[in-house]
Amino acid sequence: MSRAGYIAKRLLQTVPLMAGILLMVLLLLHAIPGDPARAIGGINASEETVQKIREDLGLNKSLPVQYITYIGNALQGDLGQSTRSGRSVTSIIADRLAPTIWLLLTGMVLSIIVSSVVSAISARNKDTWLDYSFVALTIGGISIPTFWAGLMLILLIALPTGLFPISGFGQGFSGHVNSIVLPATTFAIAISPVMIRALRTKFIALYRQDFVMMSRAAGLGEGAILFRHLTRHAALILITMISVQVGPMIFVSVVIEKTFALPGLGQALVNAVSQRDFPVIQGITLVTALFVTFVHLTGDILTSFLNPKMSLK
Amino acid sequence: MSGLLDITNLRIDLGQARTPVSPVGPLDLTLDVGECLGIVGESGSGKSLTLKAILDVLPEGLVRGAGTLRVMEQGKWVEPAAKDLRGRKIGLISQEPGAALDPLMRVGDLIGEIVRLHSGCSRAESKTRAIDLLRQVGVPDPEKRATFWPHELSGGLKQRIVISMALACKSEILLCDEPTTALDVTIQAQIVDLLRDLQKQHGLGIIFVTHDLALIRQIADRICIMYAGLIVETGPSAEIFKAPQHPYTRALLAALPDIEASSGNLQPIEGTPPNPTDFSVGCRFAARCALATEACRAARPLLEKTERGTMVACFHAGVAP
Ligand SMILES: Nc1ncnc2c1ncn2[C@@H]1O[C@H](COP(=O)(O)OP(=O)(O)OP(=O)(O)O)[C@@H](O)[C@H]1O
Ligand SMILES: [Mg+2]
Repeated sequence: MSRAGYIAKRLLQTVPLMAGILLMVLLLLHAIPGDPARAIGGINASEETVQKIREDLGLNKSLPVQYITYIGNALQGDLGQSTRSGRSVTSIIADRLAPTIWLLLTGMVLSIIVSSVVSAISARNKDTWLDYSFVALTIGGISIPTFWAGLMLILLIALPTGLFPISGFGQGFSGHVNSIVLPATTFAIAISPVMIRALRTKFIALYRQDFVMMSRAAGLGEGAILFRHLTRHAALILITMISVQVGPMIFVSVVIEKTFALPGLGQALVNAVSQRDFPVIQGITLVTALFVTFVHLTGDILTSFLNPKMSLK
Repeated sequence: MSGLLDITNLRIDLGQARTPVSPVGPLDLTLDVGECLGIVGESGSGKSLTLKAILDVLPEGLVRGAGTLRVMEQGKWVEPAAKDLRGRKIGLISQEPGAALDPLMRVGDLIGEIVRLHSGCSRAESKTRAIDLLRQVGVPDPEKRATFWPHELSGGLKQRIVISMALACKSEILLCDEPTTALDVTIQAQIVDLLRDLQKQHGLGIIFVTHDLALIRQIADRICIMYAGLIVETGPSAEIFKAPQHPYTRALLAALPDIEASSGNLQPIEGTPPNPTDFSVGCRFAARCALATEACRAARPLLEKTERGTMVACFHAGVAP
């Protein structure tokens, strides 16, 4: 199969996946034990209120009808209203999306840069004090809790220097950049150790490969070997790692949003859960699932470009 | 004949301890212009390490502990750094063509990269030169093959690609580490023919490592017999095959069922060669040798000239077992 065909097929595969995700999201509502409308309304709500909630959420209709209605509305960008504030879920998400996207993207980019550089240096200097100190730092990074790392950055960097805000998302582009530095760093502290370990092992194995020895024998310098050859192999591993780690990444970003009081989706989700605001929970779950799907899709497509051996089926 | 490569006292050490374990050496090697030197020995005797040490591309943990390496450059012996020899003067061809090519690059780009490195030409020019090289090493339909990924080529074609990379910058010396072992018999013959053609065309000096005694007899002008990291016998190929002097060489040749057979791989000899960590002060073959005496175990025999024009390292050289 050609690459274009593979990509088209991969895109088409996401359609049933999305349908499945939408079904799961809808069923979230029904996972509530007992009567969901009563649970949402609360113990003290009158029977009329509960009945109204039931109608607003379409709970009085059959499940297939609810499902089709939900899909139809979702396709038009209507994810219902918050049962607390009455605002449309779409607009709540739109408000909260930017800090989360910023955090995830800057955090991932930073983690990729840090882990590539550290692991390459570590592997090149295998079994030296430099390598050992990187390994020690990596183990340290894996063992400290994310919120603690964030608090330490606030205590040791933000407060003494006053360079970075300790909460919020700032004003304008430079304000955003400024307020994302420490959260992104926390993200990298949480995520890159695992990537460094995998990449270091990969680099060490790569340096033992025959083709590296043969490239040297043909006169290629270490720089050319690393940047023209090994980076491609490392990129494949990175892509896989990111696909696998996207779940932990989202979890970490929720914790970081809380630590740095970033007004992002994670915070909104935590609030919605504590208020049993189901439409908002559903909306954010949907957006998260979309993000995960997007990351996997992008990873597969990038891999198909990098790895000629991948069977394009 | 004029000299091309002269290695003296080469030793390969494991680690950098004060009294290091040396899996190979000390040994001397010379190669003349247009000559083919065969190196034969059991698995683990240090043949591959010797070739890798020449270009200083030893696996990690191993270092060239001693030795001088000189090459003939415009009529003068010079002692260049290994990195100035790699791909410029000396090319390497490995045992396993499948592993020798970066699987994530198209073969045309792999060759082009080496061409650009040594000639500094443009990307477009390196592409046409890569295709020329592919044609030179007998790859059919080179324009198309240049766009292939390594895994899309057969073993024989991969080995041709590796050879073309070794030739990319007019190397005068080819180090061939069992270049045909991983290939099937008909392809083996084709690759050997190709190497001989190239040798004639460009006057290449070739060091050819193999297990195949029948093959080495056909192609090598001189041979070195290696045992446990040392050369135990060396000389003109015809002389050594006619009258082997070292008990190990004799055993090798005797184990060969029919010297005229098309392919004669080394037959096992009773016992196993020692590990580099267990090398004794005496002759390393003594433990497996029927002629071994106290003298053999007490001191190591050095290579000495015989009247046949060969050199042999044995106190009992020439004695019939
Ligand atoms: N990376 C390494 N680290 C430590 N010792 C090694 C390493 N590679 C090889 N050796 C040792 O060096 C010796 C020679 O190995 P070498 O690969 O040169 O043998 P060879 O003659 O090429 O054998 P073969 O015919 O199997 O290719 C072996 O005894 C082996 O134990
Ligand atoms: Mg070998």
